[in-house]
Amino acid sequence: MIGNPDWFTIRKWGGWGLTPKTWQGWVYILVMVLPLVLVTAIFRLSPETIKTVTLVWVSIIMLDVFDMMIHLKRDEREEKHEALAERNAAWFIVFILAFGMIIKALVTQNPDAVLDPVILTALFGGVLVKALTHFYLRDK
Amino acid sequence: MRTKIKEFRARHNLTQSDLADKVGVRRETIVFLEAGKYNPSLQLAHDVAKVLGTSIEELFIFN
Repeated sequence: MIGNPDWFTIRKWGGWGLTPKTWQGWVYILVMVLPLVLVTAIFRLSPETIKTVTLVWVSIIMLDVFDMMIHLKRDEREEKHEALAERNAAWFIVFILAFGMIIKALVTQNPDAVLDPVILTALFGGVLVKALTHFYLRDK
Repeated sequence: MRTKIKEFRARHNLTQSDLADKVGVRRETIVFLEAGKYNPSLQLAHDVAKVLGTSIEELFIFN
């Protein structure tokens, strides 16, 4: 798309995403972030327009970063380490979300507390992604 | 697991970086491979053996 995966390395220690490893990576960040800052700061736009511009621009950045993360070159040891780290993180997140919703429902005595659509989408989406991954890998 | 990668690499006058480039992995992977701390895939073991002109059996020693 826009960025080059060779400019970045996978972020290992501070969450998800990419960390620049070359000067082009830093330039990419500057070029991608600056227009958003300028458009929202310099031009007198309505709050609605700013919201729309931000949403569109951030979506483009996220898609591009996601694309680079997929295409970033890793050797087999890095792939194994990344897979294990992502699995452990996913298990932790699922445990906290599921256990947290149950505790919240019990404490507040409100079953609706477990029906947060964002959390439910994340959990069921995760189930779907896991199933699709196994389906894709079943003959490999 | 022990390996003779370092020994064979020296015979071929290759650095860890050279070997890493030839088999398409990072130098760190070769470091851990030589130290017997990383269990490689059959493909990588084959590639390393091929570059070093030997066999997998000769290169990797399993206790």
